Amino acid sequence: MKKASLLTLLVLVVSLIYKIHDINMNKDDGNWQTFTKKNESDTKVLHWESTKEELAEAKVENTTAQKRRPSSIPSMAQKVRMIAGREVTGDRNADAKGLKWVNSYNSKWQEKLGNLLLKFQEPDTKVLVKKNKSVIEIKNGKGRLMEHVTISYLLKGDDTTSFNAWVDSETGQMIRTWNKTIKEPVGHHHERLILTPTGTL
Amino acid sequence: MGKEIIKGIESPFKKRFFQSMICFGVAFSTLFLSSCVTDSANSKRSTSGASSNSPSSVGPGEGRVLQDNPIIASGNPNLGYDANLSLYLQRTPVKIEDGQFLNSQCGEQLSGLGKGLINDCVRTTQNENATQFNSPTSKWAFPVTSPEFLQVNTHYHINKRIDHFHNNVKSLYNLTWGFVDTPNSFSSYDTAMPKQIFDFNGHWKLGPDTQTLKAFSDCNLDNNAQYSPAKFQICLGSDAVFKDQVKFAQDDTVIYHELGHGIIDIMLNSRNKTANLPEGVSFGYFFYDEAGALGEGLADFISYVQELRTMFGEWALGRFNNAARPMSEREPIHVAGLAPNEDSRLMYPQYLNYDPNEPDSINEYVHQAGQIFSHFLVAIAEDFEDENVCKMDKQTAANYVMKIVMETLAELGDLNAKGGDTRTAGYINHSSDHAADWIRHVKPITYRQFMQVFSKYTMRIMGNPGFLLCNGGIYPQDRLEKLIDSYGLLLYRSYNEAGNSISSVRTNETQVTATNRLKSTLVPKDLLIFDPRENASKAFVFDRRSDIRNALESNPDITPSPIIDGELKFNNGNAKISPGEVVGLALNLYNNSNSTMAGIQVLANDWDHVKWEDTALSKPYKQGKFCNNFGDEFPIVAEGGADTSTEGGSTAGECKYITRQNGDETAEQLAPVCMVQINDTNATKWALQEELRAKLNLEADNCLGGANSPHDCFIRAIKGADSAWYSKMEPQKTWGNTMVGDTGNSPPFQFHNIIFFEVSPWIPPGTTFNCRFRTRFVNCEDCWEEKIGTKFDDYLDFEFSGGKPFKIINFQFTVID
Repeated sequence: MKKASLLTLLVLVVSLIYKIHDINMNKDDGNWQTFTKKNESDTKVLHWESTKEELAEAKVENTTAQKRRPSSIPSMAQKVRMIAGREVTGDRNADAKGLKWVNSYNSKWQEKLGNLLLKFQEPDTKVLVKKNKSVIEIKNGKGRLMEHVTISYLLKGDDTTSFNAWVDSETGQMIRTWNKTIKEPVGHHHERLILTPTGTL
Repeated sequence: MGKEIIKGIESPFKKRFFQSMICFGVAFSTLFLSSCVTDSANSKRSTSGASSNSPSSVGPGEGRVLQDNPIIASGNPNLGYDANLSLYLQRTPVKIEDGQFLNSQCGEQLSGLGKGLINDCVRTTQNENATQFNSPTSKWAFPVTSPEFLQVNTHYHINKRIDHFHNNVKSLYNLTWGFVDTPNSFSSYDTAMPKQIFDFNGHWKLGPDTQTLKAFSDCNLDNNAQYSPAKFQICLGSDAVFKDQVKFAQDDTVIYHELGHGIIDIMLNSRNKTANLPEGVSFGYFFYDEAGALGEGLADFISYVQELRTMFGEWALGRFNNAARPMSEREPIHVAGLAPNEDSRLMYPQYLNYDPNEPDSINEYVHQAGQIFSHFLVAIAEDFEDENVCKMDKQTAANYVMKIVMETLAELGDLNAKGGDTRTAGYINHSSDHAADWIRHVKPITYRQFMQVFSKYTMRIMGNPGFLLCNGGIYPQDRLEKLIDSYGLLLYRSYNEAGNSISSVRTNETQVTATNRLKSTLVPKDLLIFDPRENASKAFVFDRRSDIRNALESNPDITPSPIIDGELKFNNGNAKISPGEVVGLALNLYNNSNSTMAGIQVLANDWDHVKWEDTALSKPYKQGKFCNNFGDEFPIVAEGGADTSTEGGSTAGECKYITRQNGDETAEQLAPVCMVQINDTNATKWALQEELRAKLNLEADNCLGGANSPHDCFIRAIKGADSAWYSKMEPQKTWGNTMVGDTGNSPPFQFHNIIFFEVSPWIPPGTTFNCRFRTRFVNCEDCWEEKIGTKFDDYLDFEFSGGKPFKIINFQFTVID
């Protein structure tokens, strides 16, 4: 009985260490990544650290430059709970020991996201993705690893569409989006997508 | 197109045109061809036009700008695209920046202790590719045709507006909590403003790396401008034809409007930022929804608060594109019959799709629908000014309206679901776990929701006997209700002060006086039905590959399941719902009442309509039967429906028990909208999709949502495209009839009118589904509130997880290859 308890404890400790190591692997903060399809006939998605030109086109700047700028007077520090380098959101006071995990960390989440973002886009579309922070969202005793990202599509001229999203750290799927660009096309006859039904039921 | 003098634009400018002619007369009489100045304070008047606006003509830190847009500054409504705008510069230099770059600080005035100070507040450049230009002498006077001038003009107006905004935030704080540096323990009234707003920079933008507002004064955008909340950027474009001459950055009202979106963003998220939440909310999520319309109207009004004029965009939008927008019924650009009196207002929902520049057209567009709101905000500001009411000066009146708006937005946007420091969670937006979904579509911000909260804070501020702000008295509730009613917006019957949490006391709400509702119409939800006319179809289908591809391409935040083919090769355009397709559906709904319905919403998100069995199976594989105790009384027990005869209604999992935690309880779970018909040997029944999966022995990994989502294994609405909006339906008409009449033409469907479904390639052809949509509309009598005893009160937020506030519409179809 005693041995069984010790064995269980050992398994729990090992899995906790593994989990912490697993979710702490995520060190790609702050840099923009560009994703595009390889070519028209190939659906494979390529990605690289965004170039200066791409950042300019997307009207964003690299993180290093941002860090050099003087900061504002710091506001009062909000209490932020961290687990394994990730900020805790949702139920911030939840007991981490009893957490059930609904997903696990996959280091390829960003590539998976890139694939999803380009899946229905034209072959030459470029989309830039920046991870802002990694979090553990705790709800009802369940922990989910999520990434907070900014996504920016490069469109014609200076036009861009950008938004924020929570992304599942395992599947790369977007959980929620917000902050989509507000555009102000002038006048009554501006271009917009009108869909014609193929039929009725 | 649109390059002529716009209809009706001459009259509103007659007065200013006169003034301008006098000004020119004086100028000619003195034989100077110099600037026609807009102020007389300057003793060093320049005499050399454009070339005079050089750095040497101003002191360090100073520059010259267009104080208003060129149409107003010139007094000439027909000003040409190639006009010499240097003639209309304000001669007296204004303060720009003391440094060498267009970088500004803001919030200095908020506190004596540096609270709320944003050091790197605004940074202006020409466009995204340009580096910031450097003025070594810190002098900011440049020729009006130069890119530098556009940057200076943009920077000046943005800072002026932000300064004004922060003054208003501070002034509201003084009213609620007292001094910023030594706030009182308790607020003077039940406020949404966070006590610690300045401690945590809640008066500025929420989000990562967005501390600095980036303003681009000359973007390569034709007839367009943008506000990007994710990057905290403003991008100002130019006229598509007179690209080199007519720049949006020359029109201060356009700058104020774009910045207005940023200010709305800040106000809406002020509680979220103060609480250090990483996620924010948006004011509108679709190309058309009422929150988006309110946002556009409010952004126009923010231009009014700065300029105190009731037209917006006369130069950048109006002069060459027929797209200026009025904010008062007295503007002659309006059609005949509109006037600023109680019988002639720009009423909801009549004028939702009205474009004063093209009054014969019908346009479902947030900029048009938002005009009702901007007109109302100006009207209430003018009521505060009225000699017989509050006797405020114009600027003070506009500022008080903004304070009420701030309170309203802070409450409505709260993701912690409290809406105020002293309230309990659940007061608004259900709960912190589900607030984002509530705001997005379960109970979104609409004209009704906004006006109800706005009314509450109007009475708490302007009607507060402790403040006596209204000429030594209080602003009367009756007067407020009558004004709101004159816009058709008195769509609620209580002020809902107790909020929507399950513990709220529901019998003590302040009631709207029923006799004040003369023009606002409330329609019973049961009058929204399928088109009953002979040969009418039940739904429009969109399954053409190119259309679906365009829709998904334009809405990249909507991502179908990984098992849907990237080339959409199953989309066959046969007007049927086929395996493997992404297919759009627009229900052909009909307004069976004698009044216009507005803000119609069709929801296809998961809801509580299944009775879950108490078996060993846990979520998400719980088993259950569909409830039939909603308005549709479907499916009956013999067809697989749940037996509710013995239910008491107090046990989680029952049909009569609506989940309090949106399905998070152990015994509860939300169910997808679509059920499947299963043919057993003995009977045909309606069942959860998991039952079909088990019957087919399909691996759960092959479900649309993977193994963790078995109940929408075969067909489901795509998240983010799972609700549809329609601006309005006229009496005894469908939305299509409302938009295009009875011409037989196809209505102009846009993405927001259509719910998009993904269909598994694993569905056996011939399988029949029933999707159980929840529908409602904004001016609905029984979609938002109910009578408790003798008083009306809003439904509690948890009830929106169920069917009671909705009209349930069932739509059946068979999947055909």
